[in-house]
Amino acid sequence: MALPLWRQNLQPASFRGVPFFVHTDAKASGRRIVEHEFPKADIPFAEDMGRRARRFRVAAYILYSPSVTPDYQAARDNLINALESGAGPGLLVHPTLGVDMVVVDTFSDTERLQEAGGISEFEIEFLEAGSTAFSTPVANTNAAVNTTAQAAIPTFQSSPSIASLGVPTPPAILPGATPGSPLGTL
Amino acid sequence: MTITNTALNEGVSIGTGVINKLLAALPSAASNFPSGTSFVAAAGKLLESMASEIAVTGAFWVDLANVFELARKAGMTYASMDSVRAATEALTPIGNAGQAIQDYAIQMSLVELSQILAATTFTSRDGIDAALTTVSAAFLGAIETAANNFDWASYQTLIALRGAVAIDLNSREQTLPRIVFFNFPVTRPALWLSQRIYGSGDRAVEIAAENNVSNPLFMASPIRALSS
Repeated sequence: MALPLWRQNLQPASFRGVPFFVHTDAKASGRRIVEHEFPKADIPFAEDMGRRARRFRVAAYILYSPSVTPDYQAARDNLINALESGAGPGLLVHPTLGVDMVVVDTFSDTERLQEAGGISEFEIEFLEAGSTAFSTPVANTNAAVNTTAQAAIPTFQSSPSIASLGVPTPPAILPGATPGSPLGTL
Repeated sequence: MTITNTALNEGVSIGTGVINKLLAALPSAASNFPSGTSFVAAAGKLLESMASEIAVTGAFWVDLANVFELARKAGMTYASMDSVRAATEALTPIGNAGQAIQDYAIQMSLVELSQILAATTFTSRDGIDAALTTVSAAFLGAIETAANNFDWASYQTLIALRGAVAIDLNSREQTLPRIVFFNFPVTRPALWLSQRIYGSGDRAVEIAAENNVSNPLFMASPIRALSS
Protein backbone atom coordinates (compact mmCIF):
# COMPACT_ATOMS: atom_id res chain seq x y z
CA MET A 1 0.00 0.00 0.00
CA ALA A 2 1.30 3.41 -0.91
CA LEU A 3 2.24 5.78 1.88
CA PRO A 4 -0.38 8.43 2.60
CA LEU A 5 0.43 11.80 1.09
CA TRP A 6 1.20 13.52 4.39
CA ARG A 7 3.77 10.85 5.19
CA GLN A 8 5.36 11.22 1.78
CA ASN A 9 5.73 14.95 2.39
CA LEU A 10 7.43 14.65 5.76
CA GLN A 11 10.90 16.21 5.90
CA PRO A 12 13.63 15.17 8.31
CA ALA A 13 13.65 18.01 10.84
CA SER A 14 16.84 19.96 11.42
CA PHE A 15 18.13 23.32 12.57
CA ARG A 16 21.40 24.64 11.15
CA GLY A 17 21.80 21.15 9.67
CA VAL A 18 21.58 19.41 13.07
CA PRO A 19 18.83 16.74 12.91
CA PHE A 20 16.26 16.05 15.60
CA PHE A 21 12.94 14.26 15.96
CA VAL A 22 9.71 16.13 16.43
CA HIS A 23 6.99 15.16 18.86
CA THR A 24 4.64 18.09 18.47
CA ASP A 25 4.91 21.35 16.66
CA ALA A 26 2.89 24.52 16.42
CA LYS A 27 3.00 27.60 14.27
CA ALA A 28 1.50 30.88 15.39
CA SER A 29 0.95 34.01 13.38
CA GLY A 30 -1.85 36.45 12.61
CA ARG A 31 -2.33 40.15 12.00
CA ARG A 32 -1.30 43.05 14.22
CA ILE A 33 -4.64 44.70 14.75
CA VAL A 34 -5.15 47.92 16.65
CA GLU A 35 -8.75 48.30 17.69
CA HIS A 36 -10.00 51.89 17.74
CA GLU A 37 -13.19 52.71 19.67
CA PHE A 38 -14.65 56.15 19.28
CA PRO A 39 -16.72 58.14 21.77
CA LYS A 40 -20.39 58.42 20.91
CA ALA A 41 -20.06 55.78 18.18
CA ASP A 42 -21.19 52.17 18.14
CA ILE A 43 -18.92 50.92 15.40
CA PRO A 44 -15.21 50.41 16.11
CA PHE A 45 -12.41 50.42 13.57
CA ALA A 46 -9.87 47.60 13.43
CA GLU A 47 -6.65 48.94 11.95
CA ASP A 48 -4.45 46.33 10.30
CA MET A 49 -0.78 47.10 11.03
CA GLY A 50 0.65 44.12 9.13
CA ARG A 51 1.33 40.47 9.68
CA ARG A 52 2.56 39.22 13.02
CA ALA A 53 5.99 37.60 13.13
CA ARG A 54 5.61 33.83 12.80
CA ARG A 55 6.50 31.78 15.86
CA PHE A 56 7.29 28.09 15.72
CA ARG A 57 6.99 26.09 18.93
CA VAL A 58 8.58 22.69 18.56
CA ALA A 59 8.68 19.83 21.04
CA ALA A 60 11.75 18.00 19.79
CA TYR A 61 13.73 15.09 21.11
CA ILE A 62 17.05 13.37 20.61
CA LEU A 63 16.79 9.64 21.12
CA TYR A 64 19.34 6.97 21.90
CA SER A 65 19.46 4.40 19.13
CA PRO A 66 22.05 1.58 18.99
CA SER A 67 22.41 1.90 15.22
CA VAL A 68 21.74 5.59 14.43
CA THR A 69 22.70 7.61 17.52
CA PRO A 70 24.63 5.37 19.92
CA ASP A 71 25.97 8.54 21.58
CA TYR A 72 22.77 10.55 21.96
CA GLN A 73 24.48 12.96 24.34
CA ALA A 74 26.83 14.13 21.56
CA ALA A 75 23.83 14.62 19.25
CA ARG A 76 22.07 16.52 22.04
CA ASP A 77 25.12 18.76 22.54
CA ASN A 78 25.26 19.45 18.79
CA LEU A 79 21.67 20.63 18.87
CA ILE A 80 22.31 22.79 21.93
CA ASN A 81 25.31 24.36 20.20
CA ALA A 82 23.19 25.08 17.11
CA LEU A 83 20.44 26.61 19.26
CA GLU A 84 22.88 28.79 21.20
CA SER A 85 24.95 29.78 18.15
CA GLY A 86 25.31 33.50 17.57
CA ALA A 87 25.79 33.10 13.82
CA GLY A 88 22.59 34.98 12.98
CA PRO A 89 19.46 33.39 11.54
CA GLY A 90 19.56 29.66 10.83
CA LEU A 91 17.64 27.35 8.53
CA LEU A 92 14.84 25.42 10.21
CA VAL A 93 13.66 22.43 8.19
CA HIS A 94 10.27 21.65 9.58
CA PRO A 95 8.72 18.19 9.13
CA THR A 96 5.45 19.52 7.78
CA LEU A 97 5.69 23.29 7.38
CA GLY A 98 8.57 23.64 4.90
CA VAL A 99 11.70 25.66 5.58
CA ASP A 100 12.20 29.03 7.20
CA MET A 101 15.07 31.24 8.25
CA VAL A 102 14.53 31.62 11.97
CA VAL A 103 16.19 32.76 15.17
CA VAL A 104 15.91 30.95 18.49
CA ASP A 105 13.95 32.76 21.14
CA THR A 106 14.14 30.25 24.00
CA PHE A 107 14.67 26.56 24.47
CA SER A 108 14.80 24.08 27.34
CA ASP A 109 16.31 20.63 27.48
CA THR A 110 14.79 18.06 29.84
CA GLU A 111 15.98 14.54 30.65
CA ARG A 112 13.84 12.26 32.82
CA LEU A 113 16.30 9.64 33.91
CA GLN A 114 13.95 7.76 36.25
CA GLU A 115 11.14 7.47 33.73
CA ALA A 116 13.03 7.11 30.47
CA GLY A 117 16.78 7.28 30.02
CA GLY A 118 18.44 7.87 26.68
CA ILE A 119 16.12 10.60 25.53
CA SER A 120 16.61 14.32 25.65
CA GLU A 121 13.45 16.38 25.25
CA PHE A 122 13.57 19.94 23.94
CA GLU A 123 10.99 22.69 24.00
CA ILE A 124 12.13 25.23 21.41
CA GLU A 125 10.55 28.48 20.37
CA PHE A 126 11.73 29.84 17.02
CA LEU A 127 10.94 33.29 15.66
CA GLU A 128 10.78 34.21 11.99
CA ALA A 129 14.05 35.98 11.14
CA GLY A 130 12.66 38.18 8.35
CA SER A 131 14.84 40.98 7.10
CA THR A 132 15.65 44.49 8.10
CA ALA A 133 12.94 46.93 7.17
CA PHE A 134 15.41 49.69 6.46
CA SER A 135 18.25 49.73 4.00
CA THR A 136 21.61 49.65 5.71
CA PRO A 137 24.78 51.16 4.29
CA VAL A 138 27.02 48.55 2.70
CA ALA A 139 30.60 49.03 1.56
CA ASN A 140 30.96 48.99 -2.22
CA THR A 141 33.42 46.11 -2.25
CA ASN A 142 33.03 45.49 -6.00
CA ALA A 143 34.34 48.97 -6.72
CA ALA A 144 37.23 48.40 -4.31
CA VAL A 145 38.24 45.30 -6.28
CA ASN A 146 38.12 47.19 -9.59
CA THR A 147 40.11 50.10 -8.17
CA THR A 148 42.75 47.80 -6.68
CA ALA A 149 42.95 45.80 -9.93
CA GLN A 150 43.40 48.89 -12.10
CA ALA A 151 45.99 50.34 -9.72
CA ALA A 152 47.91 47.05 -9.89
CA ILE A 153 48.62 47.32 -13.65
CA PRO A 154 51.27 50.11 -13.50
CA THR A 155 52.91 48.35 -10.55
CA PHE A 156 53.25 45.17 -12.58
CA GLN A 157 54.57 47.16 -15.56
CA SER A 158 57.38 48.61 -13.45
CA SER A 159 58.49 45.27 -12.03
CA PRO A 160 62.27 44.59 -11.85
CA SER A 161 62.04 41.77 -14.41
CA ILE A 162 60.57 44.14 -17.02
CA ALA A 163 62.96 46.96 -16.08
CA SER A 164 65.91 44.56 -16.43
CA LEU A 165 65.19 44.23 -20.17
CA GLY A 166 66.63 47.74 -20.57
CA VAL A 167 63.78 49.13 -22.69
CA PRO A 168 61.88 52.09 -21.19
CA THR A 169 58.16 51.45 -20.81
CA PRO A 170 55.73 54.26 -21.74
CA PRO A 171 53.11 55.27 -19.15
CA ALA A 172 50.09 53.01 -18.91
CA ILE A 173 47.04 54.13 -20.89
CA LEU A 174 43.48 52.99 -20.21
CA PRO A 175 42.03 51.03 -23.13
CA GLY A 176 40.31 53.34 -25.58
CA ALA A 177 41.67 56.54 -24.00
CA THR A 178 43.68 59.16 -25.90
CA PRO A 179 47.37 59.01 -24.98
CA GLY A 180 48.36 62.07 -22.98
CA SER A 181 44.83 62.68 -21.64
CA PRO A 182 44.95 63.07 -17.84
CA LEU A 183 41.92 60.80 -17.48
CA GLY A 184 43.51 58.19 -19.69
CA THR A 185 46.68 57.79 -17.66
CA LEU A 186 46.51 55.18 -14.93
CA MET B 1 70.95 43.73 -19.02
CA THR B 2 69.57 43.77 -22.55
CA ILE B 3 67.66 41.30 -24.63
CA THR B 4 69.54 38.81 -26.79
CA ASN B 5 68.06 37.61 -30.06
CA THR B 6 67.42 34.19 -28.55
CA ALA B 7 65.62 35.71 -25.55
CA LEU B 8 63.63 38.01 -27.83
CA ASN B 9 62.54 35.12 -30.02
CA GLU B 10 61.45 33.17 -26.96
CA GLY B 11 59.65 36.24 -25.59
CA VAL B 12 57.78 36.72 -28.87
CA SER B 13 56.86 33.04 -28.82
CA ILE B 14 55.52 33.30 -25.26
CA GLY B 15 53.64 36.53 -25.98
CA THR B 16 52.14 35.10 -29.16
CA GLY B 17 51.05 32.00 -27.28
CA VAL B 18 49.32 34.08 -24.58
CA ILE B 19 47.46 36.23 -27.12
CA ASN B 20 46.41 33.20 -29.15
CA LYS B 21 45.07 31.57 -25.97
CA LEU B 22 43.09 34.72 -25.22
CA LEU B 23 41.68 34.74 -28.74
CA ALA B 24 40.79 31.05 -28.54
CA ALA B 25 39.16 31.46 -25.11
CA LEU B 26 36.88 34.33 -26.15
CA PRO B 27 33.27 33.11 -26.34
CA SER B 28 32.26 33.02 -30.01
CA ALA B 29 29.05 34.90 -29.25
CA ALA B 30 31.05 37.85 -27.90
CA SER B 31 33.40 38.28 -30.86
CA ASN B 32 30.82 40.20 -32.94
CA PHE B 33 30.12 42.84 -30.32
CA PRO B 34 31.93 46.18 -30.63
CA SER B 35 34.15 45.35 -27.67
CA GLY B 36 34.90 41.93 -29.16
CA THR B 37 35.96 43.56 -32.42
CA SER B 38 38.22 46.00 -30.55
CA PHE B 39 39.79 43.12 -28.68
CA VAL B 40 40.50 41.13 -31.84
CA ALA B 41 41.91 44.22 -33.57
CA ALA B 42 44.19 45.10 -30.62
CA ALA B 43 45.37 41.51 -30.36
CA GLY B 44 46.11 41.35 -34.10
CA LYS B 45 48.06 44.63 -34.00
CA LEU B 46 50.15 43.43 -31.07
CA LEU B 47 50.86 40.11 -32.79
CA GLU B 48 52.20 41.99 -35.82
CA SER B 49 54.52 44.38 -34.01
CA MET B 50 55.41 42.32 -30.95
CA ALA B 51 59.17 42.03 -31.51
CA SER B 52 59.71 45.77 -31.96
CA GLU B 53 57.36 46.61 -29.09
CA ILE B 54 59.36 44.37 -26.74
CA ALA B 55 62.87 45.32 -27.86
CA VAL B 56 62.60 48.89 -29.16
CA THR B 57 59.57 50.93 -28.07
CA GLY B 58 58.70 49.11 -24.83
CA ALA B 59 55.01 49.55 -25.65
CA PHE B 60 54.39 45.80 -25.40
CA TRP B 61 53.49 45.88 -21.71
CA VAL B 62 50.89 48.60 -22.08
CA ASP B 63 49.45 46.98 -25.20
CA LEU B 64 49.29 43.54 -23.61
CA ALA B 65 47.42 45.05 -20.63
CA ASN B 66 45.09 46.68 -23.15
CA VAL B 67 44.44 43.33 -24.84
CA PHE B 68 43.63 41.67 -21.49
CA GLU B 69 41.29 44.50 -20.53
CA LEU B 70 39.50 44.34 -23.89
CA ALA B 71 39.21 40.55 -23.61
CA ARG B 72 37.36 40.95 -20.30
CA LYS B 73 35.12 43.65 -21.71
CA ALA B 74 34.38 41.45 -24.73
CA GLY B 75 32.75 38.92 -22.41
CA MET B 76 35.54 36.59 -21.30
CA THR B 77 34.25 34.29 -18.57
CA TYR B 78 36.00 33.44 -15.32
CA ALA B 79 36.69 29.87 -16.47
CA SER B 80 38.12 31.03 -19.82
CA MET B 81 40.41 33.62 -18.24
CA ASP B 82 41.53 31.12 -15.62
CA SER B 83 42.35 28.62 -18.37
CA VAL B 84 44.58 31.27 -20.01
CA ARG B 85 46.29 31.87 -16.65
CA ALA B 86 46.82 28.15 -16.03
CA ALA B 87 48.17 27.56 -19.55
CA THR B 88 50.57 30.51 -19.19
CA GLU B 89 51.70 29.26 -15.80
CA ALA B 90 52.55 25.89 -17.33
CA LEU B 91 55.08 27.45 -19.75
CA THR B 92 58.79 27.12 -18.92
CA PRO B 93 60.69 30.00 -20.51
CA ILE B 94 64.45 30.28 -20.00
CA GLY B 95 65.36 33.79 -21.22
CA ASN B 96 64.70 37.04 -19.34
CA ALA B 97 62.16 38.35 -21.87
CA GLY B 98 60.14 35.14 -21.86
CA GLN B 99 60.09 34.98 -18.07
CA ALA B 100 59.08 38.63 -17.75
CA ILE B 101 56.25 38.16 -20.26
CA GLN B 102 55.05 35.00 -18.53
CA ASP B 103 55.00 36.67 -15.09
CA TYR B 104 53.28 39.76 -16.47
CA ALA B 105 50.64 37.77 -18.39
CA ILE B 106 49.82 35.79 -15.25
CA GLN B 107 49.53 39.01 -13.24
CA MET B 108 47.27 40.53 -15.87
CA SER B 109 45.03 37.45 -15.91
CA LEU B 110 44.68 37.80 -12.13
CA VAL B 111 43.75 41.46 -12.55
CA GLU B 112 41.04 40.44 -15.02
CA LEU B 113 39.88 37.44 -12.96
CA SER B 114 39.36 39.77 -9.98
CA GLN B 115 37.30 42.19 -12.03
CA ILE B 116 35.27 39.37 -13.61
CA LEU B 117 34.43 38.08 -10.12
CA ALA B 118 33.54 41.58 -8.94
CA ALA B 119 31.04 41.82 -11.81
CA THR B 120 29.61 38.34 -11.31
CA THR B 121 26.18 37.98 -9.70
CA PHE B 122 26.10 34.97 -7.40
CA THR B 123 22.87 33.32 -6.31
CA SER B 124 24.12 31.19 -3.43
CA ARG B 125 26.79 31.13 -0.76
CA ASP B 126 28.05 27.85 -2.15
CA GLY B 127 28.83 29.49 -5.49
CA ILE B 128 30.83 32.20 -3.71
CA ASP B 129 32.65 29.61 -1.58
CA ALA B 130 33.71 27.73 -4.72
CA ALA B 131 34.87 30.95 -6.43
CA LEU B 132 36.82 32.01 -3.35
CA THR B 133 38.62 28.67 -3.25
CA THR B 134 39.63 28.73 -6.92
CA VAL B 135 40.67 32.38 -7.03
CA SER B 136 42.78 32.03 -3.87
CA ALA B 137 44.57 29.08 -5.45
CA ALA B 138 45.06 31.04 -8.69
CA PHE B 139 46.95 33.79 -6.82
CA LEU B 140 49.37 31.41 -5.06
CA GLY B 141 51.79 30.85 -7.95
CA ALA B 142 52.07 34.53 -8.88
CA ILE B 143 52.62 35.56 -5.25
CA GLU B 144 55.37 32.98 -4.86
CA THR B 145 57.05 34.08 -8.10
CA ALA B 146 56.98 37.74 -7.04
CA ALA B 147 58.53 36.80 -3.69
CA ASN B 148 61.24 34.70 -5.37
CA ASN B 149 62.04 37.61 -7.74
CA PHE B 150 62.36 40.02 -4.77
CA ASP B 151 59.66 42.07 -6.51
CA TRP B 152 58.15 43.47 -3.34
CA ALA B 153 55.89 45.99 -5.05
CA SER B 154 54.21 43.28 -7.16
CA TYR B 155 54.10 40.95 -4.15
CA GLN B 156 52.29 43.52 -2.02
CA THR B 157 49.98 44.46 -4.89
CA LEU B 158 49.01 40.82 -5.46
CA ILE B 159 48.35 40.34 -1.73
CA ALA B 160 46.22 43.50 -1.67
CA LEU B 161 44.29 42.40 -4.77
CA ARG B 162 43.63 38.94 -3.38
CA GLY B 163 42.51 40.55 -0.11
CA ALA B 164 40.13 42.90 -1.93
CA VAL B 165 38.58 39.96 -3.79
CA ALA B 166 38.21 37.96 -0.55
CA ILE B 167 36.60 40.90 1.27
CA ASP B 168 34.23 41.47 -1.65
CA LEU B 169 33.17 37.82 -1.89
CA ASN B 170 32.82 37.41 1.88
CA SER B 171 30.71 40.54 2.25
CA ARG B 172 28.41 39.54 -0.61
CA GLU B 173 28.13 36.01 0.80
CA GLN B 174 26.42 37.28 3.96
CA THR B 175 23.26 38.22 2.11
CA LEU B 176 22.87 35.04 0.06
CA PRO B 177 21.03 31.81 0.86
CA ARG B 178 22.75 28.46 1.10
CA ILE B 179 22.24 25.42 -1.09
CA VAL B 180 20.41 22.73 0.90
CA PHE B 181 19.16 19.28 0.01
CA PHE B 182 15.60 18.02 0.36
CA ASN B 183 14.56 14.38 0.27
CA PHE B 184 11.15 13.22 -0.83
CA PRO B 185 10.20 9.56 -0.99
CA VAL B 186 8.66 9.88 -4.44
CA THR B 187 9.56 11.78 -7.62
CA ARG B 188 7.80 15.11 -7.84
CA PRO B 189 7.34 17.88 -10.45
CA ALA B 190 9.37 21.08 -10.01
CA LEU B 191 6.18 23.11 -9.64
CA TRP B 192 5.04 20.97 -6.71
CA LEU B 193 8.49 21.27 -5.10
CA SER B 194 8.52 25.04 -5.50
CA GLN B 195 5.13 25.26 -3.82
CA ARG B 196 6.21 22.90 -1.09
CA ILE B 197 9.60 24.44 -0.31
CA TYR B 198 8.94 28.14 -0.85
CA GLY B 199 5.17 28.37 -0.58
CA SER B 200 5.01 29.70 -4.13
CA GLY B 201 5.03 28.09 -7.55
CA ASP B 202 7.05 30.77 -9.30
CA ARG B 203 10.45 29.24 -8.53
CA ALA B 204 9.92 25.95 -10.36
CA VAL B 205 12.22 26.94 -13.23
CA GLU B 206 14.97 27.84 -10.76
CA ILE B 207 14.67 24.44 -9.01
CA ALA B 208 14.75 22.58 -12.33
CA ALA B 209 17.83 24.50 -13.47
CA GLU B 210 19.60 24.00 -10.15
CA ASN B 211 19.14 20.22 -10.42
CA ASN B 212 20.00 20.04 -14.12
CA VAL B 213 17.09 17.77 -14.99
CA SER B 214 15.92 16.97 -18.50
CA ASN B 215 12.24 17.01 -17.55
CA PRO B 216 10.98 19.22 -14.71
CA LEU B 217 7.98 16.95 -14.25
CA PHE B 218 10.17 14.25 -12.74
CA MET B 219 12.50 15.57 -10.05
CA ALA B 220 14.14 12.76 -8.14
CA SER B 221 15.53 13.26 -4.63
CA PRO B 222 17.80 14.62 -3.31
CA ILE B 223 16.66 18.04 -4.52
CA ARG B 224 19.22 20.85 -4.54
CA ALA B 225 17.60 24.17 -3.75
CA LEU B 226 18.33 27.53 -2.15
CA SER B 227 17.49 27.76 1.52
CA SER B 228 15.32 30.85 1.04
